[in-house]
Amino acid sequence: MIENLKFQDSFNYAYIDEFTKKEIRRKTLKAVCIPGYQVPYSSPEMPISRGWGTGGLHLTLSLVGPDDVLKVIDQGSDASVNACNLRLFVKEMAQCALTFDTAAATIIQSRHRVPEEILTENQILVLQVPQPEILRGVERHEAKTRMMHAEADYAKIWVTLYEAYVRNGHLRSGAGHPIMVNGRYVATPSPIPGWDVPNLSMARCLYLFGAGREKRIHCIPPFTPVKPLEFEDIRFKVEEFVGIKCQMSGQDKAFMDQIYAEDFSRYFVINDSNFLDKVRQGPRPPQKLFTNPE
Amino acid sequence: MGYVAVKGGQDAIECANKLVDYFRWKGRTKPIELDQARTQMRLAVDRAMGEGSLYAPAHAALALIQVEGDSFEAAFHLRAYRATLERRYYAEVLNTREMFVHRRISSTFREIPGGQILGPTRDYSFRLLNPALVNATLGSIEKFIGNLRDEIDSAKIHEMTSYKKVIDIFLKEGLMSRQARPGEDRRVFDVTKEAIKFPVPRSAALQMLARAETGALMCMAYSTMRGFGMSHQTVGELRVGDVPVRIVDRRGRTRYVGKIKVSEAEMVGGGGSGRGARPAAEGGRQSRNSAAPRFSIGYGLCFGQNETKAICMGMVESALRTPNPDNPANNQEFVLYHTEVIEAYGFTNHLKLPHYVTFQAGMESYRRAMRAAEEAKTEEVAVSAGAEEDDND
Amino acid sequence: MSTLVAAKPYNQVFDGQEHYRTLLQATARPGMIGQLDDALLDVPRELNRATALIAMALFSADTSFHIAPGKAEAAEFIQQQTAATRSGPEQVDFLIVPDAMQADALRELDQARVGSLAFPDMGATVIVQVAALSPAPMADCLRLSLTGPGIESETVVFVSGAPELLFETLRSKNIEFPLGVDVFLTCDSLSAGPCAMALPRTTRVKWARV
Repeated sequence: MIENLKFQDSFNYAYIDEFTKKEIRRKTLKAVCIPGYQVPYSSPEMPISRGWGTGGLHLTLSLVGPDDVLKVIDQGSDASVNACNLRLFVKEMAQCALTFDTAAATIIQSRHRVPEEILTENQILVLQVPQPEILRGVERHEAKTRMMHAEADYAKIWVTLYEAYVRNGHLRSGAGHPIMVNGRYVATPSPIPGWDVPNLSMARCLYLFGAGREKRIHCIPPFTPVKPLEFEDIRFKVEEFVGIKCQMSGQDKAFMDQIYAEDFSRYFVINDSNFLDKVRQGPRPPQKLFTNPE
Repeated sequence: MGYVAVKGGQDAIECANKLVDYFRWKGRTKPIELDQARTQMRLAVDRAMGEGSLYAPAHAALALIQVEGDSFEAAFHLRAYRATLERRYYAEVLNTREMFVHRRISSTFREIPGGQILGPTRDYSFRLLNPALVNATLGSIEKFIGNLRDEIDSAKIHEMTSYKKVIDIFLKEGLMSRQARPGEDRRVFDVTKEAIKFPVPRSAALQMLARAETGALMCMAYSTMRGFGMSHQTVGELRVGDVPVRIVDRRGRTRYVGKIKVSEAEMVGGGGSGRGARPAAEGGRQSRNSAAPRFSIGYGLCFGQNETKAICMGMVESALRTPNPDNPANNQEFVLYHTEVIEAYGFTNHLKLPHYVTFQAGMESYRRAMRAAEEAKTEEVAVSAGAEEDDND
Repeated sequence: MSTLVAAKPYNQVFDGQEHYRTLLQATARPGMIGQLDDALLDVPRELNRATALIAMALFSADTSFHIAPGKAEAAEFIQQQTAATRSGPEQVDFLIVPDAMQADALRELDQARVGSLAFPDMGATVIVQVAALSPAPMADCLRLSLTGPGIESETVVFVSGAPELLFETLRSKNIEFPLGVDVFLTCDSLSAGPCAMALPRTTRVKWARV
């Protein structure tokens, strides 16, 4: 009988074997070449659960080298338990440096947020994606959504968007508003708030999106036009935090977390933990702000 | 490096890990030895190997001990370990005709060439809790084995060998064909090296089903029998035993690597129509249904002894080959995506992660809608956090 | 090119990782000339070091490649080093054009896979060896002006040892986006070492002889 009694006590650099890393790297390069298109890839199992950032991890581990400086955030925070866990895993496997400082990082892995601070050409933002198929809500079959992308047939999502407008009185229905990448592919920006969507367009950094469970990688290259889906007369709007200031810093113009006090009263704190640190210490880091159309 | 209490998250994780160990050890019981788990939790080991997609009994036993018996976690640990291994070779197609059979039954015929071999099964035992097991000792085990040895006619052991297949009967009578279906995709696909694309070739579907979660597969198979399917298949042959594995090395030479234990099910049903085979409940009698033009096989194969999985896999595999959007089990995307254990387990559990940014975005959307509704003062636009559910009027 | 001697033997983990990052940056920023840090590796004369390093970084047993017939030594090298398999120009994942000035090599490029509308990522990656790449004009070269994703407004780059026919062929291959091929132009530079520049299918190339 086949029986191997030797247990492994060490791992390949960055955990994933070189053969599979190369496959992920080839697919990532194709994703860069076809902005917004979802490239299928092998998506090997990780010691981290599916749906907890495996796609992001595949990308990060295929990118990372000993000279990299890694930042991991979850919901905008370096302190989130899952961020801590992923950060520790990458560090143990790749012996790279770690940081909370957005500007110091070469690779940032994030869930649900794009950092407030403007990212540069030397940075890669890896976004974790639960559902890469933005059309899944309007068509449940993969074979069909793939044909819809192939034919740039986006009628169904436009209809859904319009229906959402009729129902809710505005266009954005929550996180992960559909985007049009480079005028060709409708894609998901991952479940980031509307506030972050304008940051994706014509950015200096590279955005990589990894969906581990669904085995897809997509990309927004630098200097690529990205438009939230909107109608000529009904425009996309980001969250407005009108008359709201951060309780901890007294500052505004950043995505705010609403926090409920013991007495159920609400107050607000800047969501991006490193940005909050920086505005409290000053000076305020460079930010790209979006003005809602009237 | 700033004010953020990052240590908080890290501390919490460390404490959680400690508590896991504490709850394991707080009873101060003797640690389970690897060998004990591997041999006395044999079926749990087999199931973990199948869902973990790795034939490694010792590793599977270690995984089970480590995760306190959770079958999802055990499979998950094996998959994660497996992902660190390079696939250097592909094995040649296993020939289950070479199987050293432990157990072999057919419900399509009363007698089969070579005979029905019940083998190790709990199928015909009373499911009564057995307090005697609590008092088992090494002495009682020795005595049991000694007695069993005495019952065995050692001369007959050598007669046990490999057996012909039940499907040979169908093939010989022309009731079944070796021909591929017209247009059938016969590529051999490796789902661990490539993401699947729909429609998937049969090889990919089989590979995914062999790795699927046993319970999920059972649910799918069961649905095909009661109301959400049109087939009721019969066990043509169910085998459990050891088969040799061979690979071809880089110089092109065939090398014998060793044996693995597998369960194999060949489920017989009518080709395409879903009729033609008689229900298993009437089994034991030869099917005389001559109306069926051709029988086809729903094939199930998985690591170790996991008969439920092999049978259900065979049923589902058969259902997948007759697509029907009305039935979940006849829908490739539905079955293959949702029975995948690691993905389903991970994603359902990811709901434990914080979602406050996305949730807040949703809340804001509702607030806006509520404001808009108030401003409009119309009663038709009843949008609230429970709009979908409450929308009965 | 044997004059370029690197200090360390090639390390498949760390050199592969560094080179990939350079290639990723280059692909994300067409027109940027990526410098691949050289490492000790015996490369046959038919390949420049940049092409060899790209093959080392990206090819594996599940990859297929084609190099012009007659370049047996180069093909053998890649096969031995990476376990990639050889196949016809119309089938492969990676098509290597050892000399852009050879007309028959460009005919092979014309056969390269462009993918399907459902799976445009199945379009081939083409590695074209040229004499030199530079951000500044050189003697007898083409001036490329590039626009498209990855480029803020326009990037100008100069290439020698590549005919206009190469860019005409690429334009016709990439006319039906998202179908198309993605290209690395490679060369070995005395000053900068092995270099690669990417022209993904989204890049619009205008060229003029200078």
